[in-house]
Amino acid sequence: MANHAKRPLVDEAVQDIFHRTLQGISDDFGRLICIASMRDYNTGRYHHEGLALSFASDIAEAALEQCHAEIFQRLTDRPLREFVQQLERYVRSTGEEPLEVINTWRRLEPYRVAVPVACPPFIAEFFFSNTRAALTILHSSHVRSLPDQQFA
Amino acid sequence: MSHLLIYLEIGGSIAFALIWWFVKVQAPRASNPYAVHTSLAEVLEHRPYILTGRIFADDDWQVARASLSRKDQKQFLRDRTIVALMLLDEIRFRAGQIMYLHRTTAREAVELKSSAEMKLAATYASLLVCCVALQIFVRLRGPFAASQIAARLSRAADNLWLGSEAFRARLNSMVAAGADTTNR
Repeated sequence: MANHAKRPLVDEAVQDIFHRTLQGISDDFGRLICIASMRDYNTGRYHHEGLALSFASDIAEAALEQCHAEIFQRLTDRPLREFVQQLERYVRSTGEEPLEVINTWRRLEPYRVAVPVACPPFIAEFFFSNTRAALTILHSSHVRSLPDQQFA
Repeated sequence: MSHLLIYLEIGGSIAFALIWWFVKVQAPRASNPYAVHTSLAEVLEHRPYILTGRIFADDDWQVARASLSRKDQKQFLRDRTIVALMLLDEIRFRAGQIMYLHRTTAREAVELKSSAEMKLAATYASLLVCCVALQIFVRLRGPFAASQIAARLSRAADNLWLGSEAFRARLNSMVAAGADTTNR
């Protein structure tokens, strides 16, 4: 199928992703991690069984790639203050101990695989720098609140 | 005798420099760094300058100053300086690419608006001046002290992209009109 003929289908699949797959996720940070987890680390190709059943697999892949780029662009355009808030909500949404998640993220830097493949290096670096700063801010605020919790 | 040797040496170096310059000028155009296999339309799609405001934003620095330790503030400033310099390199490269592709396309165009071309060249020159000024400023005082020059750079880049896009649209309509006349 020619690219211009695929366009409406890809747009429809994008709407499907936003209205179904990502509906329960309130922030772009969570959406970014969710979409990035659908990408194969080795090939960089996206997989989503349900979407591939409703649409063709190449349409589903193109739609996921587009969603990933859109969400990433929106997130990098946010001020650091809002970025920290989104990361905080994501950490809480995992259901794990926040400080443990923050420490693991600071050590392993899993956010590095959340960047879209076609992203220019300076934007990727900008995202990494913001995430590192946001994690440090969250880490110090959680460490500060630890003694309060112990005595509460 | 020693004077003669000195004159010969000077003459030899001038001749060598001239030959080197001649070879460089005659080299095929493909050696130009901007001569990549891409079209003006493709290059115009990339707009690295749209993040300029965000990268140079002072409010991020205020958040970092209020929430991070001295050591982490320094790290944040170092990171943001690297990102800002990378952004400036990217803008310069893309703008150079646009001007190179614009020139090669304009040479083939029959009708050129000299005022529009002059304006585009002036915009490109001001963008380069802004880029160099920002690079010096960022290295000396960091990105957060340069938000005003960054805003000017962003405007100049926007004008360059828009100017080149207008030229491409004009060229496309000329080509379409030409094809229409031929078909008749």
